[in-house]
Amino acid sequence: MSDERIRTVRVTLDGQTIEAAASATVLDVALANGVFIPHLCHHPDLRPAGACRLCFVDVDGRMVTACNAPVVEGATIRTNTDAVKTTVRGAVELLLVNHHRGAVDCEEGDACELRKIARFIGIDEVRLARFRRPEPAPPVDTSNPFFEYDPGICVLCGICVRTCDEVVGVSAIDFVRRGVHTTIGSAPGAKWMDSDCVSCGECVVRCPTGSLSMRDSEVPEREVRTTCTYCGCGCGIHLGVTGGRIVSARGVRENPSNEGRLCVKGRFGYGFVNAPDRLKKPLIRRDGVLVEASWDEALDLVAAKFTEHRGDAFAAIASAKLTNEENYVLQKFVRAVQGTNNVDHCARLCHSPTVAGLVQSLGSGAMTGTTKDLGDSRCILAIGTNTTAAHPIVALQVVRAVHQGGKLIVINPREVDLARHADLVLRNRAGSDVALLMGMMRVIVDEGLHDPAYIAARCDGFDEFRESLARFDAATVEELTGVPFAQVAAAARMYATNGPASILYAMGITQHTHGTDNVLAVSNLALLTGNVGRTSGGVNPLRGQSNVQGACDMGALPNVFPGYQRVDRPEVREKFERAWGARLDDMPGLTHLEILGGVTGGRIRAIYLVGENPALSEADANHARHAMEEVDFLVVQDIFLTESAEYADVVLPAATFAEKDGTFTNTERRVQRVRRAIDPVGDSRTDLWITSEIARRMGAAGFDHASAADVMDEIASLTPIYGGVTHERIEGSGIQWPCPDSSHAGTRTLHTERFPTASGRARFFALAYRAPDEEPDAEFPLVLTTERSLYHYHTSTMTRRVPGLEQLRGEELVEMHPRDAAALRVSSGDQVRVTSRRGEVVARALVTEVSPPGTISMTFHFHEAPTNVLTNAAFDPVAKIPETKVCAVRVEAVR
Amino acid sequence: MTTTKRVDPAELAKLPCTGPSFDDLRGKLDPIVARYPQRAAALLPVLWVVQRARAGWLHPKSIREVAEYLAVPQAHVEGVITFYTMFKDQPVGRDVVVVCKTLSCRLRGAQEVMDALEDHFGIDMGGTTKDGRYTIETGECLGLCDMAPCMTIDEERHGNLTPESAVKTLEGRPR
Ligand code: SF4
Ligand code: SF4
Ligand code: FES
Ligand code: FES
Repeated sequence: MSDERIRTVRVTLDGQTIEAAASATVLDVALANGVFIPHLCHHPDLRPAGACRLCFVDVDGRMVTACNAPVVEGATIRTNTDAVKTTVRGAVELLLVNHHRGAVDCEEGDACELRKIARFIGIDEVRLARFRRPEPAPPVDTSNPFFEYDPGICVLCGICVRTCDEVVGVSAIDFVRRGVHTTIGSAPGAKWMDSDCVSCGECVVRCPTGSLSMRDSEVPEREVRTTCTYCGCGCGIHLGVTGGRIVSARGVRENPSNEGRLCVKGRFGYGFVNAPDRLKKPLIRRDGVLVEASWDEALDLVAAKFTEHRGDAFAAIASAKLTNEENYVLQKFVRAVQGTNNVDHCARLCHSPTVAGLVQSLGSGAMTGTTKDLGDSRCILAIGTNTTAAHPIVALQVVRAVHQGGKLIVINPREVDLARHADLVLRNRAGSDVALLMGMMRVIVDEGLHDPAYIAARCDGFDEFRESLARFDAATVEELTGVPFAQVAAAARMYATNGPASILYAMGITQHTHGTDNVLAVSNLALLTGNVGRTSGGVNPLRGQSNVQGACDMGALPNVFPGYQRVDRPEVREKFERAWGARLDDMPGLTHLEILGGVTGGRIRAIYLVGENPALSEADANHARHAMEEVDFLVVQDIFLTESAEYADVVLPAATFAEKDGTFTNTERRVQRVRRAIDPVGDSRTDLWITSEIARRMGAAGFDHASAADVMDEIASLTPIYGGVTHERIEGSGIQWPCPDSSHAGTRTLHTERFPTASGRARFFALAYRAPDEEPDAEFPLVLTTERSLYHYHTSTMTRRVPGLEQLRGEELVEMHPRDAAALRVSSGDQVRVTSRRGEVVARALVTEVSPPGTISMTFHFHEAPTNVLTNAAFDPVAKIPETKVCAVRVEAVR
Repeated sequence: MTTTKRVDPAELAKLPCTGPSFDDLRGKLDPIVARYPQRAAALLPVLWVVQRARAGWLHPKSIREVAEYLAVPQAHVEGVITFYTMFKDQPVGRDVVVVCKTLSCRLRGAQEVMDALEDHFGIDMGGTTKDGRYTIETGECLGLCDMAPCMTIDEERHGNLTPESAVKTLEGRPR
């Protein structure tokens, strides 16, 4: 294989002798050597189709289509014989007469490849006019909020159809009808929006004629390359700027994480930046109402109050939306100025079990591989992740792996979208993952499919772990998981015998009272089969927010300094005390839930809440709201007046990702640049500036960095895993940590030789099954599990300000199985009331078999129906994550 | 009155999907699928069985169910049924009549046959008779040129037609 790629052949191209890679096509070679061959259905991201019949050339006297003809040694290629010219002219003319617009005067202009080709060949429009189709063009499909399809200028090259299939894996569209009536469509009478389309726009950006085109598109004055603010995929985007506004976004092809691809949010979701209701001035509560104030007033007040509340009565909640530099400065402020370790952020609510679990078993709590390498896995086990919705660009690699013949096992109570690509789908009871994974491991061990050599060489704790498997016999596993054991065994064999195998997981694993156990079960499985440390294998926790990995790396956690260096280690503490010139606390601080919980007992008196919205995101949200109301002094620093900001004493207007410099670290540990595209809107300021300014006004030293790059240098000097990271070095493709020094290129696959544990070895953990904290009973007979929608982000503070996204999904929906719906006499669209021990919420029902019988699901994006007032704040004893994925509820129709 | 008007495709889903439930059809479909190395390969015969069992056309629900059953994208099923003329994505009469309109038949009077049928039943080609009994449409060469002009009624062949014999054949069949 690899030989084939580097082997070269010699061909003659229009008389010139040329050396070319043996794997290239004639079209590749011609284009690479500056010889234009008309082509419409070719796209470098797609397999050759040979559909448009424009790329004819003469190879050794035979007429072939260049896009799907491989080059062969000694071939003579001629692109300009009379026969070629006549054939191509005929093909182009046929396309033009079937086209509903004149190619020369078409307003699509030079964006249209057909027009370029027509000019290249020299077409006589007048002669063609009489062959043109007389009937008017079919109507333009404008159903999608972001783009439209004009069948009148579609040349049926099929690039969109193949993109949606090969790149996106959705297959929403195909050629429909026949002959001259053929168009791109999906189902009888369906508009584009009625199809399975997820509005990613990948087809639109590849359309060669402008038949698929962006609505409201503006050609920007300039573009700035940066990193998407939404999810942990961390896609590179070019933001288009005109004046002070963001007017476009497109993917960065050179970015290794996304290779130019974007999801609907990344491509179309930038509108919030210039939303009219951005916070533009600081607000101070006076006589119960928030009124505008100057920065000086607001900052002086905050500085005075924070000075009053130094020590353990103070707590800060940082944000996975801030840059690394901002999180670093924020935790430094909390530790060095406020003298407490009470700093945490939303990772507590999503991946704290990953950090707690994987650090124990593998020594490091991050994805062991890269996004791109996932696509070359021979087997992917996706458990507790709705990847297409939550990590759309990672999901593209799963699709790529499947297209390459890799196996896919999906384990999820809900029939998530990925299931349609899967070889095996196991729908276990919510909260039974330990039992299921241990059941699989028992099969692997019993059948000798594990990797004893790897285990002996690199792992500890195997014997004890092996004994704990005894508890998971077939009958027990079936009973606990509700999955037939034959399926469990089949999954075990498929995973163990197809390597390298990658495990993907997300909130379905972590958001449980036994989240840490779940994570350990995952790492056990990967170690058992020797998959950790292999490229395209390993354990891959998918991190949610754009910089949640970075916020953890930066020590926005109560027990560790930047780089996971523990606050209770004297030598570590001394290093930071020396660097920061302050005495530091050796007691780990309070976690997210404990901070809000600490208000009631009077333990916490002041909270600095940065870029977070616990009023919607926190489990048992009513309790969180209550705490924010009660606390003596609450500062909220955000880009909008969020539900949480309404409780604040001072609100500080922050800048968005488009208005600041810095870095994000995405889910594959890649540290990437965030670049200022526009100036902060109104009087808003970057979080870096705000926190530093508060610190300065409190008389603290060490908060006068000249730039974000300067902060990164300080980070690198204190954080071994970021030791070699500088803004300058990551200009291009970023760097994956660990990167210990400036000569190190970064780390693609973790743990290839040793584990970053004290012994250098990984550890197995003996596990037992523990039931969810709250199980259904007579009064609350159903299980509620939370999920998220592709179209919204977190508490949707940003996405709901994008009208198109709001149109695609504008309200909460309670998804339930037809059986449960029938028992409640509810149909799709009916209003239902969902009640738990903690609260109630009203929303409309969506009846679907995606939900298993007995389990309903809701997102947490909508303030009108704040799902988290229902969820259970019982937490994992180790990681302190609340059990958002399982709680008991009752549903009734609202009539 | 003519019932040639196509149902607005957006309204199709509101029509009843008559015939056996998909689960009841599985008994017939599973053996067909078993004949092929890949499920998707069974698309044409599966669609044919479903169409025949369910009032002669493919309701949007049928399309969805077939797509799910064979694990192929819905858009692909739509592409296939709108490509082949013998698949119907609109309601049809109880029997489907196809009158050949290709060269041999035309030379031997196909147009007159069509005109007669249109006059007699008061419909345009492609339409369905008022009583819902026949959908009468035109088709390309039926491979019966030796008995041109010709038509098929579902799977029956009728050749050497005259305008009168065509009408009589349709009227004369048991109701
Ligand atoms: S926007 Fe994306 S999902 Fe929709 S049709 Fe195009 S490629 Fe497919
Ligand atoms: S939201 Fe995530 S997947 Fe979508 S473009 Fe942004 S980083 Fe990429
Ligand atoms: S580019 Fe070769 S056939 Fe279309
Ligand atoms: S032309 Fe009518 S059957 Fe062949």
